[in-house]
This record gives sequence, structure tokens and C-alpha cells, in this order.
Amino acid sequence: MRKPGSTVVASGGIVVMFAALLVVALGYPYMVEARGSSRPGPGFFPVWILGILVALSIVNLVQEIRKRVTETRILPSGQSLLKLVKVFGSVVLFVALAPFAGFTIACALFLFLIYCFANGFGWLRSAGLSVGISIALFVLFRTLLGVQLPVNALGW
Amino acid sequence: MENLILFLQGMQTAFAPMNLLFVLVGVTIGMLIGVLPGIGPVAGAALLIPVTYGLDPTAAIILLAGIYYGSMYGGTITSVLLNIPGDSASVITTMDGHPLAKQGRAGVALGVAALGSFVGSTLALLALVFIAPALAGVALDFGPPEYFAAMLTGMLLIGALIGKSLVKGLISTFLGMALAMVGMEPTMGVARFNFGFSELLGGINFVLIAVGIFGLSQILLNLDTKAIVTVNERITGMRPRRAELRGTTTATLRGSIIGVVLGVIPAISAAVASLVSYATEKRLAKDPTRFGRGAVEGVAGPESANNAAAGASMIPLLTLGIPGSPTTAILLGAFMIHGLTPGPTLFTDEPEFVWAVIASLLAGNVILLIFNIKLINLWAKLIQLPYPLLYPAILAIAVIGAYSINYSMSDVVITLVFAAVGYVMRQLDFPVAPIALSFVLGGNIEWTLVQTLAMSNDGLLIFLGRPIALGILIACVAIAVIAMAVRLYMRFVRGKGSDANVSTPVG
Repeated sequence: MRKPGSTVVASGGIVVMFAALLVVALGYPYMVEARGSSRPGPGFFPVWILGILVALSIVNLVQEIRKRVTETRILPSGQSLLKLVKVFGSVVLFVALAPFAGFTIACALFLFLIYCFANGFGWLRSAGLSVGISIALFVLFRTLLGVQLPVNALGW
Repeated sequence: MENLILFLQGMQTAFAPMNLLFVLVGVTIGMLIGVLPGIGPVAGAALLIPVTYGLDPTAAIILLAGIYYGSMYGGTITSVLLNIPGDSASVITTMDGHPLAKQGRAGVALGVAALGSFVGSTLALLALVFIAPALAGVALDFGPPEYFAAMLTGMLLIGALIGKSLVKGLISTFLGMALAMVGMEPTMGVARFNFGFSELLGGINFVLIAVGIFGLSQILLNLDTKAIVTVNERITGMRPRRAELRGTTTATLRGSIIGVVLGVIPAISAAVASLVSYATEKRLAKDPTRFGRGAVEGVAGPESANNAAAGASMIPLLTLGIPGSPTTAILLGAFMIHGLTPGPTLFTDEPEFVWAVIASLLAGNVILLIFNIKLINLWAKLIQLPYPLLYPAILAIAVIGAYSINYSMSDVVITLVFAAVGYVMRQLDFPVAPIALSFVLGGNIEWTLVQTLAMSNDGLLIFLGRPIALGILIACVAIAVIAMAVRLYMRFVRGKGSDANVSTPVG
């Protein structure tokens, strides 16, 4: 028996997700009484929207099954996947580090990791670019545009 | 006449030194977005919304509008020089623009495109000045059923017509509406779909969706783009031959008119306008076999049409609050973030703002004409900037943008979640552009539907007694049928006629 392609699996997941949300929506009042007459309640619109989404996602699932494509990948493979993980991981690290280390250090580290390890630039070039860009962004956003970027004890 | 006076007053505001600076910055960024690989106009505008937080609404919208039409100009340069369209509206330009470049006539293609774009944009501007206020006047009489019909029409048309699959387009559209339902329900104050997270009680901020789904996911998809190309040839000689002048002029005028007429209709994108213009020029040509081999009219018509359509799509945005294209949906989100409600009352409540924005389009187009005629070699050099050098800095700007909404890292985390959602959606061939439109309109659609049903004793049958609302819904069906026929034709033309390496970021 042939395995279903990743698009079919993903399409099935979409159906399940919308169906679960529809169940949540059914928990909200569908119609409410107001001044002697009933009017749509907080659940009216969500039930319709999610009902339509469930129906559409089932049609989509059927279409994907009919395509009989088994090799489609949602995520890249090999070096491309590694690069994606490195870049996404660097952003996550930036987000985790910025409140403690301050914007400039966190941003410089984040940029260095991408330039050096994801893009394969030399470490000296990566360091120069990272420090230069993070300082430029700090000046642009904090000084010129007044954005309260996270800072460390030294104020940057 | 009154409109002209208001426009001239708008020019006073738009031509104030600071606002002129924002026009200049906006169109420059737009041109960069157009010529650089990997970032389309939708993602570019989405990424830069947060930069406008500290600005007053007029300056902010002037800047973002500049990015919009600047990118329309910029996309042409890569279409002609590299056979790679900078955005979907420039796809058709590759068909004759690149053959002209291969004949050593890149200057002519770019000159004709720049002038055509200017003429198209100017005609759209005139339509904005004279048609928009009248349309806004009509829309002032709209009640909830009419608004519901108009918004539903705009939303469904974009959902149905953008992307490769009707079903996937509609799923994206309704997903945007579902996201708009997160948070406190307006009539009874019931918290919906927040799953216990207090951060979601106020709903999801549009910028988080825009930056995540459009900006970050686009960058993540393009990580492997190298795009180091060399443009050795110096671009000179931008005038067409004497024998080509007449055909170029008529193609420009025809394309501009086609663009304005089609651009007003939601979902009839600039790409469709350029295709219709190309097909028209080919049909009217004495020798249609020249098309596809370097016909100047094949560049002049479509380029005029796509810029005219881009300008004209501001008409439904400003008068009805209905964006006609993905980028104007981003603009609509930006309007709301800055406390403005596009729609008929905008002309009466905020005349200084609306006329300043309209006048800024003129200033921007003049600057862009100069950029594209006098500085064309500089832009051609910028194409050579390697993407791996650029995207990390763009990522950093995106993170700052998400953080700066509430100065909260949880907003950045939400943005990253949407980036992942956008990435997966794009990989599964779901168009992401309809999400922006339906998200910004979702709340209003629900509100007007609730009001409509509250007005009615017969449920949805109320629409049968409201001729304007009924007319809009019937028009929706008619436009959908026509536009889908055009889309099928476009797919046929692309498949048959173009060998363009189309990797277009259109959201």
C-alpha cells in the first residue's frame, strides 16, 4: 500500500484542526434574546465561518488525495533544512537573549550566527557586518524613531 | 472644481518638506523592494508598518503608499534585464521587455516602461481626484446590508481569484476571518478562541500577522536564493525609434485606461490589467508576430496598465474601505493601526489627510520617473546585491517591528508562530494574501452581518429588498466568472508564451 504524501497528511491535519475549532465555536451562544427578539450571539459567526472552513478543507483533502502525489515535502531536506533550522533557531535565541543582554548584543550575536554559520561568510566579515548592522539598527530605531528597544545595564 | 481645490490644498501638505522626505524614502524603499530578490511589495510593506509607529498618520500612509507604487516601478527593471519579474504585475513585461534587452535595447524598454508607468499612475490619480469623492458620496447612503455585501464581495473575489486553487484561496480567506474572531466579542464581551492566554484577549494585532505570514515566511522560503547576478551593460538610449512612437503612445494611453477601469474592481489585480492590455495590443497590432520578440507596445501597454491599476485600487480602499489588492489590504491595516477608518466618511472627517495622501502619489510618481530615467544604471547595479547579505538585517527589522507594538517579546513569539504558519501554507500552495484582507475586514463583516440580521424579520432575505446590496452581490458573481475566465486565459498564455523564470513573491 502506498504511503500518503506529506501534503495529504497536512491537509488531513487542517481538517482536524478546523473541526476542533468548530467544536469550540459550538460552545459559544449561537443566538441570544434581546428586547423580546432573538439576534445572532457570539457563536453565530464563528460557527458559520468554521463550518465553511471544515467543508472547504474536506474538499481540499479530497483534491490532494486525487492528485496522488507522494513525494511533496513541506520542509526542505539536507543543507536547506539545516540552514532553515539555523536561521529560525538564531531568531529564537535573539528573542530569548534580548531582554537580558540588551538589543545590541543579542542582535549582533543573532546576525553573526546567521552570517557565519548559515550563510558561510568568514568570521571576521560576519563579525564586522553583525556589529555594524546592530549598532545602525539601534541608532535608527531607538534614537531616531523612539522605539524602546530592550537594553542591558549599560543602556544598550 | 471643488475636488481640484481640495487636491491643491492636499499638495500643500504633501509637498511640505518632511512629507516630501517621506515620499522620497517610501518610493526609494519601494524601488529597492522591486529590484532586490526575495521581498515582494506585500512583504515589504508588511515589514515596514512598525517603522511608521512613531510617525503621524499622514506621514505613515504617505511612506507606505510610496513603497507600494515604488515597488511597481522597481519590479520592471528585473523583468527587462534578467527576465525575472520583481512582482506578479511585471510578469507580462518579461515577454517583450527581455527580448528588447537581448537586442541591446534595454534602455528603450525601461524608458518606455517608466514613462508608461508615469502616465498610467497619473491617469489613476485623476480618477482618484474626480471619481473617488463622488463614489464616497454614494457610499454615505450605505447601510449595514450594503456594507456587508460590499465587504463580502471584495473579500471573496480576492480569495477566489488569487492563487492556483479556488478551494485553497477560499480557505485562506475564511482563515483570515477566523483569526479576526480571536479575542473579546464586541456585542456581549465574550472571550473567543483565546484558550486561556490573556495576551489574546484584545485580539491579534494585524502587524503580527502581516510581519509573520507575509514578511518572515517569505524570507524563510527564500533562504537558498543566491541572486548574485551581473549586469555589465550600461543602459543608454531610452527613447523608442521614430517609427515606434505612435504605437507606443497609443499603447500607453490604452493601457492606462484599461488599468484604471480594471483597477477599481476589487481582486482584478494589476497583473490581470497588464495581461488584458497585452492581449489588446497584440490583437490591435498590424503585425502581431512581433509580440514576444521585442515589441515596444508589449512593454508600454502592460506597464501603463499595471501602474494605473495599482493607483486605481486606492479608489475602493479610500471610498469603501475595501482593498482591491493584497498590498492595499496591508495599507488598510496600517490605516487602522493609525486610528483611521477608510470609507466614505474619510473624505468628510479627514479631508486634509486623504487629499495629502492623494497628492503625495503625484509627488512620488514624479520622483519615480526621475529615478527610472536618470538613475536607471544605479538601480541596475543594485540588482547585484547578494540576498544572503540582506536578509539577516531584514529579519532583525521584522523582530524589532513585532516587539515595538507593545514592547513585548510575547508578540515576537506570536509573530514567529505566524511565520511558521505562513511558511507551511506557502509550501502547501495556499495563497497567503487573502488572509490579510479578510483579517482586516473580518470584524466589520461580522458586525454588519449582526446589524443586518437585527434589522431583518426574514433573515438573509432582507437582501432581496435592498437593491444596492443585491446588485453588489450579483456583480460579485459576474466579476468572479469573468475574472476566472481571464485567469484561465492568463495561465494558458504563461504556459505557452513565456519562458520567464517566474519566482514571484506576491504573497
